[in-house]
Amino acid sequence: MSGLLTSLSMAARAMDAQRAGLAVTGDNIANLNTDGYVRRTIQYEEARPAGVDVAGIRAQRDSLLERRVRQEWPYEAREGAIADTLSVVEASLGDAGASLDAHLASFFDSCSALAQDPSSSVARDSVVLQGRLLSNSFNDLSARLADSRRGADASVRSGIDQINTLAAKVSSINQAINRANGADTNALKDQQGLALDELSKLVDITVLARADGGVDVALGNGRAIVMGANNYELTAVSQPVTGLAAVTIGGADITSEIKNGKLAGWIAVRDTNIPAYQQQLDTIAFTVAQQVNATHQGGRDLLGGTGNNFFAPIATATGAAAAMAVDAAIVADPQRIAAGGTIAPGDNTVARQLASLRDARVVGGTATFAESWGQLVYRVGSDSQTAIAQRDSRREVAEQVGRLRDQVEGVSLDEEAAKMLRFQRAYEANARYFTTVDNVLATLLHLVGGA
Amino acid sequence: MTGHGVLDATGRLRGSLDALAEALLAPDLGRLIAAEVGLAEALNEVGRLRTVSGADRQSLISELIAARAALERCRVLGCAMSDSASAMLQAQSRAGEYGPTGTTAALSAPRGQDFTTRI
Repeated sequence: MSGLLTSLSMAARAMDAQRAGLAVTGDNIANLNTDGYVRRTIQYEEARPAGVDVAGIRAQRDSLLERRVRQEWPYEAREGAIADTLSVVEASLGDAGASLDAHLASFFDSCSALAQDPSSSVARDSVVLQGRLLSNSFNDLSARLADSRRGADASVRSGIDQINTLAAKVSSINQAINRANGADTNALKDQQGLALDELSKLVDITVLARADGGVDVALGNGRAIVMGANNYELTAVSQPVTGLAAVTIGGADITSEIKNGKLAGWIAVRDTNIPAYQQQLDTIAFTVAQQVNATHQGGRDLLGGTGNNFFAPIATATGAAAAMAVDAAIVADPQRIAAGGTIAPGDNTVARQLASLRDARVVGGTATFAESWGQLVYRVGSDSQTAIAQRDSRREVAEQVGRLRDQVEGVSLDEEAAKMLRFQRAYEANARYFTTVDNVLATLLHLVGGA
Repeated sequence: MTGHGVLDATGRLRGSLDALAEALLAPDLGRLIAAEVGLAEALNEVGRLRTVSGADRQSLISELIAARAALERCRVLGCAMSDSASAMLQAQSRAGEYGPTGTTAALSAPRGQDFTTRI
């Protein structure tokens, strides 16, 4: 009787073990599309006196590959953030021949028309109109660049919030793992891995494993954002004058320490790329205003006046594109446009000089206005394309390493299905004997009088 | 055939059934396939018995009861595994894509009620 009880007990324990095995396979299939899920395998151990027990369920993690993936993602994410933001800047500059270049051409065309008939009020009105359109174009472009910069700054602030949220999540997972007391922590580690993946896309992080299964996370020059159950928040501190956010932690400005990840990309666009474009646009605007005014001041208007500015004077190049405007006196009375060098009727000297500025290499002494604008457009496009190429290149590496990781950690539906089918077929091969075995045993029992 | 012969043969049949059950539990495909050979041989041996003596009657009855228990255990474990596999394969629309001949062969529908009852 004790043998039968032992047998039944063993069967029950083994049944549990088998059910656990099937549950693990079921979990693997059910979580095929779950982000961060790492394939589980069941580990059995021999039970005493006989049978089998579940020793544990192990997630197929490869810490080396996980670290490698998290090294690649920040690079890809940085270039991706730059590419995405610059594509917006690129679009805001407008199409070739329909943006600032077109307005420059129209303005100088109107000066040529004025040279044809210096006393024509229509031609004078046209010069004022084209001057205003050109100014508006500079103003708009400057505003768009400023908007893009503010957009990048908003992304930086949002990135800081996301990093804080993820750091809080990792610390809370650490706490849960620490309190697990030997219970299965694989699901928590899946969540931990997912949070670290997201974090590494936002900023380059250093992850240090703790003995209890938790992790410490640092960024920049070893600035801890997670230590066990504690997390330390990044803060966006608005800078004086610009109002742009500096990334700080514990009062220290760590903006320059952030080298990779989306956050670094947004910071690079905000603090390096866009300011450079703004500077170039300002230089063009400043040179246009300066050259046109200098030429215009040397002429005489229809009222006999001289020394007039055509554009409102701009003191420095910084902010010139935003400040550019046709001088109020010219707008109020187009007769104040100086078309000639004298008051003699038909004198068009200055109008011709203004028209000839179109081809003058006055921007930096090497380029015409149109060429300089073309260089700016090319620079933005080039930066954007370079970032896209870098992003794609980094993405390939990240995907390759990710695929390697998935081979170890991911769930292969084919593998799981094939395993199921093989088990079914092998069992069916055995089961075809069962009826015969049953009959034989019943007959024998009957013969020995046991039934 | 002596009583010991019957006892030995029945013991080997029970042993092969236990081996099959262990293979189902593992679950270990290699052992599952190997168990089929052992089961066939043990069954063949029992099938060749011509006489059954009364000697060791109690031991034989115990052995036969144990063998029946082992058989039932195999059935339960096997059906549970097979039904689970079918349910999972059908859930992912992969049932019936591979059969013994390599062509499409529909698997039997999962015996849901029996399966639930057994579990």
